[in-house]
Amino acid sequence: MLKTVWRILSSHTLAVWILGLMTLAVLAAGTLPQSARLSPEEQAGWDTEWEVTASWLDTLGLSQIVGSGWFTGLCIALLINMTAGTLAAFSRKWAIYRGHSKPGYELRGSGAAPAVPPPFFKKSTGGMGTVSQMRGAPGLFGLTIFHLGIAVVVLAAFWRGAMDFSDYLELSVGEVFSGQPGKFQRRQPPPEPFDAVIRLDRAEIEVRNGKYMGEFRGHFSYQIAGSPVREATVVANHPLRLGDFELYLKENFGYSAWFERLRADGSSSLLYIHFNTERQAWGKPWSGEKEQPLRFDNIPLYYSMTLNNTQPPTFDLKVSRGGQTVFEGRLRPGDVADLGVYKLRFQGMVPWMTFNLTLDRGESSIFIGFIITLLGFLLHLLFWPRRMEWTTTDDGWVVRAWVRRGDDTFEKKWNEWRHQLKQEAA
Amino acid sequence: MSNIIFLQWMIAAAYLLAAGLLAARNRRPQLGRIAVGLAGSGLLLHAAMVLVRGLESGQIPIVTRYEDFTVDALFMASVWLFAQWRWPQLRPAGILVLPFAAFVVAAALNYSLGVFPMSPALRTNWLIIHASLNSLAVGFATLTLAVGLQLKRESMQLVGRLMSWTFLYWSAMVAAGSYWASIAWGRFWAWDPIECWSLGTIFAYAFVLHLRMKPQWCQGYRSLLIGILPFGLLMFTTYGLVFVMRSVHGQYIFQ
Repeated sequence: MLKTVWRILSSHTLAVWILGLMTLAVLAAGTLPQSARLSPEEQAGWDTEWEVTASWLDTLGLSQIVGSGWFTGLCIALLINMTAGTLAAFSRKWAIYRGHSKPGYELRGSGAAPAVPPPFFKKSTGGMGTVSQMRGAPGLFGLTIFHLGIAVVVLAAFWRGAMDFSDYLELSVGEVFSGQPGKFQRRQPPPEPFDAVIRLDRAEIEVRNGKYMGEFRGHFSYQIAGSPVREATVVANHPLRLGDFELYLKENFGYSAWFERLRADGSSSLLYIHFNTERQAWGKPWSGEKEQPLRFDNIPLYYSMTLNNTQPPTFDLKVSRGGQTVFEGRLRPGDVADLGVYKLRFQGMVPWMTFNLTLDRGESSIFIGFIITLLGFLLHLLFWPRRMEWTTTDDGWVVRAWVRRGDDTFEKKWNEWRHQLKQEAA
Repeated sequence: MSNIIFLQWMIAAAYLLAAGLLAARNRRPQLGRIAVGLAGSGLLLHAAMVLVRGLESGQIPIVTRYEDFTVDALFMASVWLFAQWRWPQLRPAGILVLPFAAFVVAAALNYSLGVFPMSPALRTNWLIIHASLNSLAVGFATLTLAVGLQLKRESMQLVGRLMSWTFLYWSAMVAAGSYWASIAWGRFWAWDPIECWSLGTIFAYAFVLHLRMKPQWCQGYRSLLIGILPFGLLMFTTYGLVFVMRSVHGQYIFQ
């Protein structure tokens, strides 16, 4: 019973079936609309326009393939089959390595040993006894290493899936970030405390020909866990390490209006309102409009705003509360708008940039897995394992060979050697 | 610009003519050697053209669709030339590989020949590694299919070996892209359509390589049939996907 289960679990046929199903599953995940990939608006549009199809995909578990129970089940099945198959194959290969299995080629002769050595045998044996030679041994275990690498990747993917964090945040020049959940796009705090303070000091944004990104850099001051303040520049492909976190630059930017919010009790705080800016408009006269409710100190106000990139910049503001306009006017740098519940002092216009803050402990294990996988397969392709054993006794001699299936080079040379021996004998 | 178009057609013509000579080599064996010489000359011209473009633009010429096609065709011809030198029995595969390379070189002219500045994320050596591995995989995949289409019994072991090399290069390309994504965007995998299709292609190759371990799937039309599947996926992922689905690749390259 156990033998049958082991045979099924380690079988090639099962591997073929699982790999076929994985191919279909992954292609479906890349083709069908997946809820994790769609924005809320796109999801709503898809659900409305393709109501029946969307409901069928939901029912069949195809609207979120990756992470679904059946997809995870397939991954686990692949892992089990691969582990069992690799162990079984390893024991066979070890037997070949030790010469304890049935050889693929064997030739016997009577009398003295042939003067011409068999293929891939360094030299002819002179005396009695057995001489073994192994060539290309790394190739014998290449696929074992390859499958081990895949196991590392799959296990690391499961492991990191439970503990990774990644979210976007927009920072304006001069803005300080110390892990406030409200700054994140999803407004969820990271699983571990963000023990750093960062300030975007300067944004270097250059758009060429109104279309292509030239220079794109964010210059920061930062402090980790009370250590001295340092400076760093974040550019594409060079994230900033902040303790266990990393900060990445995303090619998304714009202008923001910068205010000082003055409360009645004399306290104040900074306020940045970001405007989406087209790449073509960067560095040129531009106006951005925005309407949104803003809630501070539990008091909601409805803002209607226009930021004008002029010299100096101006800000057209209309604020209403409960349908009543509390302020309407144009602000220049230094101007104050009295909104009743608090005042806003317009300070000017600064660029903002988007960053991705991540916490990913398992990532390096994934890449180690990739390297093991590729290295194993390279060994399998580069080295052709050929174990030769030549035994000479008083009665005659026997040459045995263990080679990989499909080793046509060996087969050709073996046949040539046999032919040569026949000719010599004739 | 007209010089480039002329050169591109010259290269395509050299490859086509070489393929024609290879097809006729049974009647006059020396035609095979002439074909290799002609294809080699075309390849030298091809490589020089790509090199000059890279030097003139000051960046690796693999950013636009025109450049992508041109470089992939270069790898197709190179892989065949190398393979037929290493394994002479693969020479007839040039009858199929070279016209395909000629077609890709000519098809490149359908796209803008302009030079576009690279976005900051592309200014890294990982682009060279990632794109070169992709082109190598395309070159090996084309050769594998060409050898398989000849349906010669003695070439079937070679089909498996070539397919394994394609699998290795494609997997290495995905791994390199994944590492690059991790340093550029802070995530190594996001199940984006192109990532899913690339992984699907890996699984398809693994599926076929496992299936080929059964003797009945290792020869004849069955072998050809299962060989076409991963090749089709590889080609669609490389050339077709960005046209039909929104993907991270479309944001950065292929203007």
